[in-house]
Amino acid sequence: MAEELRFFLRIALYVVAASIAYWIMAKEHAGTVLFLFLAAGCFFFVGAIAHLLRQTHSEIRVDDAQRLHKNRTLDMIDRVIGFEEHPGDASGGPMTLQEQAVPTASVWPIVGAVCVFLFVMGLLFGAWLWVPAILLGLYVARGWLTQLSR
Amino acid sequence: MATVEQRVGHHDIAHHERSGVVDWITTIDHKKVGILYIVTAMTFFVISGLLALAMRAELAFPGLQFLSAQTYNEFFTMHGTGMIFFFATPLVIGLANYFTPLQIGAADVAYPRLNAMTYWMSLLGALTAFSGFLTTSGAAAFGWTAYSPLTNGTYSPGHGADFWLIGVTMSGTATILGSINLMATIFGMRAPGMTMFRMSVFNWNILITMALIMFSFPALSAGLIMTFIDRHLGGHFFNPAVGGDAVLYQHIFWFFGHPEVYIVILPFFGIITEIIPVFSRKPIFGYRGFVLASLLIGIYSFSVWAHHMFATGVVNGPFFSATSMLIAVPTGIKFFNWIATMWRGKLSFTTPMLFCMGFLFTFLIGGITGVYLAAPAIDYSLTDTYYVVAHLHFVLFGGSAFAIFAGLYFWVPKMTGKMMDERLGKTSFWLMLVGMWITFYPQFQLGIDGMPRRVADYADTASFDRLNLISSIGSGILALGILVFIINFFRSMRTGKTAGNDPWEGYSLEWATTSPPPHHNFYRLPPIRSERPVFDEREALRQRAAEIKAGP
Repeated sequence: MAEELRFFLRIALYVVAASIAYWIMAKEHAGTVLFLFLAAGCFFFVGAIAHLLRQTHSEIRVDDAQRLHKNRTLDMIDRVIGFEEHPGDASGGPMTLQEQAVPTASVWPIVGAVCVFLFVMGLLFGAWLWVPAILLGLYVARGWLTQLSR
Repeated sequence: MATVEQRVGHHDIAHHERSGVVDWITTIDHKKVGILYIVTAMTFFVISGLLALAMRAELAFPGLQFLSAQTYNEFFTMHGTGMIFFFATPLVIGLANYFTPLQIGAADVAYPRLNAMTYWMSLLGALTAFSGFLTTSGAAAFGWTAYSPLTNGTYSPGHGADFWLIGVTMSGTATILGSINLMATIFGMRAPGMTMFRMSVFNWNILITMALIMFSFPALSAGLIMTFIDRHLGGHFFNPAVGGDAVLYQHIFWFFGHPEVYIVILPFFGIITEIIPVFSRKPIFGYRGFVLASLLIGIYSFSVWAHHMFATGVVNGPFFSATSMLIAVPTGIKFFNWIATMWRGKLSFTTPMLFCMGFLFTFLIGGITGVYLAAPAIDYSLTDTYYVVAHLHFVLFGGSAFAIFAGLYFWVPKMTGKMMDERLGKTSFWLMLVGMWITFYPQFQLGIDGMPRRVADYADTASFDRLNLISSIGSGILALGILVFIINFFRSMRTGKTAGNDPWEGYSLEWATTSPPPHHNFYRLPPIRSERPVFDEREALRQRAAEIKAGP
């Protein structure tokens, strides 16, 4: 199993165990909800990465010839939370991003940040600040998206 | 404006070289963004440090000297805010920005423009929070934890508190975006051969830290937005008089706050783990043990938050005590591994290595005193005393800051192409070490004697007087050490020796390129067959040279 997947799976498994123990011991709502949100976040990443890997590799499938242990249970535990690396991983990362063209300079990041700043200050000083924030935001979005095609 | 077309890694880049301010404002090069982060973070370190110096000067003697109680409250609030949110956390992102792509053999981060935008958002957030000092009501004065009800309109009227809430939320959101970017970089842009278990320990720690940020900072943003709604939009989330719950804020804040402690220490564990093997001339002892320990620290840190809330009396003591003490185990693994790495090594005590030694001694004290505070019975008597201040600073100054200075002395030659002066470096180290211990060690005793923290004045007793004066003198020595570092930096940039590509004979990939690295990072990558590819290549060349010398 790819380490990228196991990374989130380990956190998720611990958080589920901790949230159960916490609920049994404390019967406290705020902490339990926070734990559950965290577990949901981790499982989201597990699912998303598993989906990505399935599209590009057959990493999820356990091949009998690549068994680490003779015992099936030990083998599964090792693959889920262990530290052994699949020999195939050495050829490169299993989640390698596709080729992309990027500019080396862009004015849109700083203008975008100013736009966010105007928007949040509008919460404090009045909704009128949202007008320039939204107009600027649209301008930034256009510039950002079309920068690569020019 | 020159235009250079380059084929770099998997990017096709039209390289527009600009000069001066425009270049820095429009840059999306991860190295320049990293430098912007680092310079900004160091600026806020100096500003927040000056606030601390003013506070220590006030506390040198009993009675109010030159700060009012309100101004003192503003100073300690903005000192903590500056150090945690605008120094330590952005510095993590800055160092990761600069060195993560280099160490995994990538040409840039996964989303370069988003990366630049997070920096500018972070800067604007920091300036907004600190601009409270310019308002008539003054800056925020409720402590960096922003507990309710101190944040409501009654106790914190005026725009200073609002600016704090908006600034920290904006900066925190930028940090979340930055963490996603760096995580995508590590997962998706590693060079061929760079498997997860061939990454440097620094990168592993960055990866774990980014996961901590991604899962914990949303809780902070949520808590601060709820506070803002309570202040301005008629909300009652934290107002018990109308069905809210002030303790709920503490749960939300510390669900972020304790992972935050590890966010500002794990990357620096990584720096220490980079430096010690290089200056011990040995491989890391127990690479996978280090990775496992970092993972465990990261995972456990999500289940310890309420040890900050023992004194509320409404949290489960045994659960949080047990999980908090559990963190000492992986931290102990790291300590043993660092010592084992140095054991029988060929040690050379350069400035970076000295800072690592300082880190080991001071962080150990910070860690052990944390174990005491994890015991509810001890915490009840020491909570909100200077003992906690001392513990916090032994962890965050003795730990994080020492590791940061170790990292800066280690990596500034790579970033600038200039060596920093060793004599001044060692002077700054000894001043900072001595200053740090004289400042914060007496504060343990002050706490045990019952001096509360966050007070501008204290009872005129012999014990408090003497220890406070010693602590204030120490802070002056500490500041002197930092001043020597600043002088050393600027002097070295002007007159320092040329660093060369690999001045320390380092192990990881950043030492395989020029100092400073070119825009696309590498002209060629060495083969990656272990977690120290540059060492492997250097050794292979040495062996080959020896074979040629020996003849057929």
